[in-house]
Amino acid sequence: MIDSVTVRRQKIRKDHTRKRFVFFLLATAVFLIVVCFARQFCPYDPNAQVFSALEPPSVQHPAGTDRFGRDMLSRILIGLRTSVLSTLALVAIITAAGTVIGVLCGHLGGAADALMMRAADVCLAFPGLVLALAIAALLNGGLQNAVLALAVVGWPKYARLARSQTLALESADFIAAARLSGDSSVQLVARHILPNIAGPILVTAVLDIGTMMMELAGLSFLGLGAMPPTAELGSMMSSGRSMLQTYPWVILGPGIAIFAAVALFHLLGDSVRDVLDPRTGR
Amino acid sequence: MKKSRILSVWLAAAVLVLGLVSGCAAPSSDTRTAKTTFVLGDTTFNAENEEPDINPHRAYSGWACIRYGVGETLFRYSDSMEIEPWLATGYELVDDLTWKITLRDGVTFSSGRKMDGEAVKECLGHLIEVHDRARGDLMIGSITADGQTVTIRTTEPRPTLLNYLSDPYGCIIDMEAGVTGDGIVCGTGPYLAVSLTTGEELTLRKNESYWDGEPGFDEITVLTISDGDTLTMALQSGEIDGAYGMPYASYPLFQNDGYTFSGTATSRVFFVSMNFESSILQNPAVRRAIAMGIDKERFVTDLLDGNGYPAAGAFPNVFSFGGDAVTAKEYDPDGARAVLEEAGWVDTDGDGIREKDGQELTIRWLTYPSRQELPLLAESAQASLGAIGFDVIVNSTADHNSIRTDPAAWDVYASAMVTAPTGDPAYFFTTHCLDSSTANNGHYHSDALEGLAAELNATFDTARRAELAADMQQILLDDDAFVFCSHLRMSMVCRSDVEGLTAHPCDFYEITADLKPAP
Amino acid sequence: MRNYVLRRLLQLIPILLILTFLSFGMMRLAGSDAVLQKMENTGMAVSQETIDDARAELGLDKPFLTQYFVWLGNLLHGDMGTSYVSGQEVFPTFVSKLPATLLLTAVTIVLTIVISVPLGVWAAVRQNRWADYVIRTASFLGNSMPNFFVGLLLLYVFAIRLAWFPVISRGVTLRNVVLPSLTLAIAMSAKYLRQVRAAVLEELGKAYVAGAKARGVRFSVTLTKSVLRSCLVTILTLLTLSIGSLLGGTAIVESIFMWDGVGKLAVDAINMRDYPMIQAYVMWMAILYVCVNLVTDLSYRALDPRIRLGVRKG
Repeated sequence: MIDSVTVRRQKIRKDHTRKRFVFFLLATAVFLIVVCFARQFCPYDPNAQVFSALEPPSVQHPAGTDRFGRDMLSRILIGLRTSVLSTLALVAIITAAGTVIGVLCGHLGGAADALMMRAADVCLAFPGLVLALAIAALLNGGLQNAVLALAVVGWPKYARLARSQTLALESADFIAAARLSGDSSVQLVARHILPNIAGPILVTAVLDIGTMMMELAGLSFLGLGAMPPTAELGSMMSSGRSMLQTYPWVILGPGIAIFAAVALFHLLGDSVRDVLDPRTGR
Repeated sequence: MKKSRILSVWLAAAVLVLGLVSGCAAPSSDTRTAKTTFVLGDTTFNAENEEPDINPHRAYSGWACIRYGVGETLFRYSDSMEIEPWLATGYELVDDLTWKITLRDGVTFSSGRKMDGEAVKECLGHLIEVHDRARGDLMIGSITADGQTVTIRTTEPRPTLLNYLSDPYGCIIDMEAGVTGDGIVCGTGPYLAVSLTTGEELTLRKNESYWDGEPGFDEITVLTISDGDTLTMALQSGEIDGAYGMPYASYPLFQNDGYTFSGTATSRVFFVSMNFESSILQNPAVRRAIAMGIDKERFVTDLLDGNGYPAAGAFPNVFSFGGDAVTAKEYDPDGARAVLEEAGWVDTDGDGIREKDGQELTIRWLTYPSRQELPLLAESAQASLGAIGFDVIVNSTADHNSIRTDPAAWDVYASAMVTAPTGDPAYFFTTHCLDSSTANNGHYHSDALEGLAAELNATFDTARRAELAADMQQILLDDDAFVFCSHLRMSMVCRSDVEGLTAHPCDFYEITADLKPAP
Repeated sequence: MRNYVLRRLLQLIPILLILTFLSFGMMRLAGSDAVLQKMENTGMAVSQETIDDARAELGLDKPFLTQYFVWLGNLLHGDMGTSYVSGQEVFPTFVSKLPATLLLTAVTIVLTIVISVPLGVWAAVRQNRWADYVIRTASFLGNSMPNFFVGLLLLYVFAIRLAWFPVISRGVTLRNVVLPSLTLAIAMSAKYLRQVRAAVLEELGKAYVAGAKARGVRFSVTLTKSVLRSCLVTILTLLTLSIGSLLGGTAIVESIFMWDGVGKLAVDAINMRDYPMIQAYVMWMAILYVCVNLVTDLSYRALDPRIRLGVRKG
């Protein structure tokens, strides 16, 4: 009696989890489509400096205009595209690189492990700003190089996470069983280790999206980051900084866009985890 | 009920922390009922701007010495940037090399010592011994003191000696009292320094025996507030009474009865240098089109919020050789298009960018973000030049100092500089436009300019110097070697219960004896 | 045990050497130098001769390797050099900024725990109810606001509107540290309350919770006695990571609140190419990093009996 109720509850919850996942997946897909085709949705040319400057939001300009006399809504849409795509690229790079290195280190152990982990130590302890400055000088500014600078300091976090997760798994019974049944190293990693560590890594990656968006913007004061006239949400916020009291829409518009993007990715991340990881389903 | 206990534990902890905080938060009592103190917030008084203290014999610390009313120079600038006596009462040019300067009687240092010829000699002697820039500027061979006169002999004819003596490094300080470990000196100004912490604060007290009127406040504090928004809020909350270096975007907050503004055009100019090593810019039509395609008016009104003046030449109109003394090209997009058409730059493939002989009309615009106006200028010019058919690629980087020395890496370089720090025009040309200039990044060369520069160097007559300066600027403009976009309007904001905080075109004088509580 | 700690501390030496050499090299690659940066700030041009003299005075005219080894040699004699910008000695300058950073870090950590742990636990317990949604939304908000925005907002509300705090915090006091640490704590809590929530959720899903419930143990007791305790390792890992980055300084917050810590010092030094000061900062970061890692490992040992007893964590 009680058992059947529990099972039924779990089933409902599972359905809910599925539904939520599908919903957020669709929402994110729609969002990404809007973002990728942002130019089509822009009411005006985002770079045309043709309107009067710093007009408050109105029917013509729902998000107002900036101090160059550009339509803020168009710039926010294009800025969303720049920020989201570059942030996703950054997070993808550091997650992939970090995971590969971490799993290999954890799985192989020995000298390679020690060497990579010392390299990670150096990257983690090194002031990112010094590195960013050097990259700006060597490779010039631009968003790609900002992504590169952050990737160099970002991967160790994932490598350590993947490594510790791998180590924890290596001693698990089912891995031993797989090994006994003759799985090769590659099969072991691909079939058993990667799927099992994907959850925590994904959650960390999703949590990083908002932060990384900010950090990309933070480098723009060194000249690393989007070059004008490219719109980018973080730099739009920081360049509007002094206008918080006088022309708040210049800073609030991009802020709300960042919030929406961050919230969406987090919700998706949560639902992905719920689906992937049955334990948290309770 | 279940979770309430844990919650209450955390709540208690939170209350404890808050209590701790509010317990320390003594009510801030308003002590300004009878206004005898003044607090000035300044964004630039720090070691990064080479103003670590107020010792005029060190780097640019003289700026702080003179701005905050501690030191005074022998001569000073009037509001129209002409030289007038200050600690001196007059001078006599005995021959091209010899200057006989008469000192004001009855002036004492805050240490109590009388300011006489001997004191001035000691001070200037020490200055040229330790300060490289002053030594190079002044070219002093010997100084002799006799009562209230000093006679300075220069090693070469130095028409601008009085200008250089009016530079902040020329503040006359008492060398017997010396320089303390904190960098405090004894000057003759309306206030004397009590304590100084580099990059944080300077405390000043009224100089009771000041020679020129009674200073208005008993005590003045100068706070270094490097963040512009913090400066804004500190003035809003009343923690400071006056502010220097406020972001333009904050101005609307203070444009009311509670505050007064004082602003003036300074010789800090935002300008563009053309790279004469760049193949595309060697084409005079391209340079001309750029000069005609930058909308200075819009840059000044929209982006600087009216806190600048469109520039014609290198100097603002407070100078006799500035402003309308020269004619620059007007913003004329149609004219610029015509110039380009005529030179064969046409948009054949319809992408909005002109081409000629298969070369796109692309220019690389180098600038840097540490001066907030420069990226704005770049972005604005990018749009207005884009409308003419240019493709402007902006590179705004902290690394510009190494890039600008590589002529292959850029086409135009936009930067900011003070063109006449000493009120004399020669400085700009010798540093930026001649073959021998350190900052002639675009390797511009003009025979005519070199000739006039040589003449300027040997001319003592101020009127003639002004004429020469105007002619030289006109050469630069006719060659389209530089585009001067805007002069910065320097503004100070202060509460309206204070008067006398007045912006001066040379940016040297801030706190004076005129600063006092409003009646 | 003591040998273990010693061995870990010995690792510091190669890390220090590598890091200081790397940063020296990278600042070289970054172009420009202190002399040019100062010139840029003052907006004045000086003659090449003056520039060369100033460089020679700082030893910037020497080859890169010579500069590094001169610096290293001086360091071995206990001399960290003088700042190229202020002319002050590096070591005392750096040390004078530490109290501010330490206080800011400590208060921020306390505030973060006070905010993120109860909210995270509450959100987990009320999973998918309104409280959970409100808390999570708040965390998205905290996660998507740049530091300067939160800082200016707090200043506006608490210093200008309510006038509870001064805008200009002069001196390292408990009252002055509240707003800057709140700024940092809001961003950190936004991140950590989600991690706490996840950790608690995972723990709640374990069999012993159901077991305890079946035995009639009050839920609040299970939560405080067992669940929270098991989550402690997660929370600790997060906190030690943050302590490291907080001690490294937070330039923007320090600059907005005029909080005189190492973050602004470091950023200024980097912008001004003040090599000796940058080196001091790099060394501080390396020492921090090694020590924080060591403390983390030691506390794991203390907290998790499996590690302490030498059982491999599974």
